[in-house]
Amino acid sequence: MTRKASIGKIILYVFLIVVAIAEILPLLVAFSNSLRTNADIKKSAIGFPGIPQFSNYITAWHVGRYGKAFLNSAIISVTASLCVLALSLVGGYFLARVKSRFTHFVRGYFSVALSIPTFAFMVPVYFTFAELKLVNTYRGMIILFIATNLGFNLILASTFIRGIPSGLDEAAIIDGCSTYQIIGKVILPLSKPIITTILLIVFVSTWNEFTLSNTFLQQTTLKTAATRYVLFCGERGSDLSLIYAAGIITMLPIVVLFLLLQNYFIEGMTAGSIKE
Amino acid sequence: MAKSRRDDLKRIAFFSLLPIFLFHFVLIVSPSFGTIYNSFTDWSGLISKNFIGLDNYKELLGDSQFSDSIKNNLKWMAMFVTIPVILSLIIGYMLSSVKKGRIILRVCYFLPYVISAAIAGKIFAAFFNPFLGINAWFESVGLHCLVKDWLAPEHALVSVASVDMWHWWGFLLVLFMSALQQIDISLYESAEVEGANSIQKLWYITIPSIQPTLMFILLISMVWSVSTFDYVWVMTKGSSGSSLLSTMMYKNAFFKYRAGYACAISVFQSCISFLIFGVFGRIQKKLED
Repeated sequence: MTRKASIGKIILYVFLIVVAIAEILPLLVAFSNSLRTNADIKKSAIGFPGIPQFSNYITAWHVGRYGKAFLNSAIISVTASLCVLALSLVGGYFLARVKSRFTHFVRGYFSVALSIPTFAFMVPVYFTFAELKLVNTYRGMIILFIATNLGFNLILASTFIRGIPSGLDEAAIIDGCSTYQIIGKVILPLSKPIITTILLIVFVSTWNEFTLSNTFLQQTTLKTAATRYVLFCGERGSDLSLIYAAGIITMLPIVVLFLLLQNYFIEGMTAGSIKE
Repeated sequence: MAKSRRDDLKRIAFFSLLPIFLFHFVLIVSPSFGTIYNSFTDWSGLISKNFIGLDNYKELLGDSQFSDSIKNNLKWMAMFVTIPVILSLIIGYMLSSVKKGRIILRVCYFLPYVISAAIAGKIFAAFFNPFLGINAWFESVGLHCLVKDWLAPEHALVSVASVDMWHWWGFLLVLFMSALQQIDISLYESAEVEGANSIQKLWYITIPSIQPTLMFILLISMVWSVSTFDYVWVMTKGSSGSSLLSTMMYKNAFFKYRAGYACAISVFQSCISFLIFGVFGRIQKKLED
């Protein structure tokens, strides 16, 4: 019986490991190719580098002007995450603590608005932004990303804040705190887990976003890292070593962040997907 | 005292939430109504437009690209409600029965989900290159049956969907695993006493217990299949037999100066999405009764 059980366990592990290797194999091949010469890759798309060509990375970085692309991504993603965080905490506080007809309405509004697909509003927003000269600006992109990320994170924050005992608010009122002081001094320090989650969700989703970034930032020098890479592949179609090296460069920040914070990532990116 | 403070709080709440609500309404909801209105016009994207009634919708009915796109979206949906769901459920069930190495395995399965569609899509497009991609490798190891033009019309849709599923199923796995952790272990123990095997346990205990999560996953799989865009656009731009409603809409809005027609496609997509939400809501209610 125990032998049978342990053989079963071994088969289980072998299967799980094979699936795991198959899953990350494309990324390993891409990494390996990023260190090979162009001619070598063209002979066979799968292979180990003879002499690792680290120069591929330097060339790809310069040719693709990825320094600027990363700067664009960072400015947009950091600003959008901080704004969404601030609005979600303040809005979430009032949704959690105040029972009035208006808060009831806002809560209902956002839970319905969550299901509006991107394509439902994208075309009119694009042409309005074009008229207002907001296309090809950081401002326009950031405003749009705040709007698309707001609903979900607002609901998430309000659910979290509802779990903080309101007795703490009462105590702060007796100490003479105003409502916004309560949010800053009582709620904020107790909301660290939800702050990490919100920052991570918005940062990663805006950093990786394709559809809106590709539409609202068309100027090469303003493109985010991910959309810059798409353009780069078109420009450098036959430089395969550069395409693979640039691919690794653009995915690296998020992959490293994920490997460092994998628990926060998995909890954050699946937060709210499961009904309580 | 207490009452005036409560009224104060309501007032502050109103003035704090109002700008948040208006900001969202102006950027998301009001343009969505704009999409509905524009679908009845011949708008090119510039300022002038004429009301043309149902002409865009009538044109859609006769547009063979529209019907091809619907067929492709249905194929896409059929793949996404089966393959990644079954794969992630089985792997999730297996993974939750082991302790050692669970975290590192989960990292491997989830990793593709954190990579942008723009990057993963282009890397796979390089693999699928008919001359410079994996074909030469297949040739060299004798797998001649796999030497194909993977992004040619007869394969493109399935190839692109495969890449999207490769990235997507790890996310479903994590959803399934958190649902699996909440199942009462004593249910399994009593089943073992009665001599149930693991497949019977999966069917009679696991699946009924995680039914809300399963329903949620089927719902998002269906809804997102209606408006899926990024992988297809990155890999084929919706050409060569992989045209979808979203790529057709995108081309009309931003390349063909037919924003009004594009809006009609968006309205169609949104109606289908809300229909799916509605049907799932009904089913959920029936299951709860």
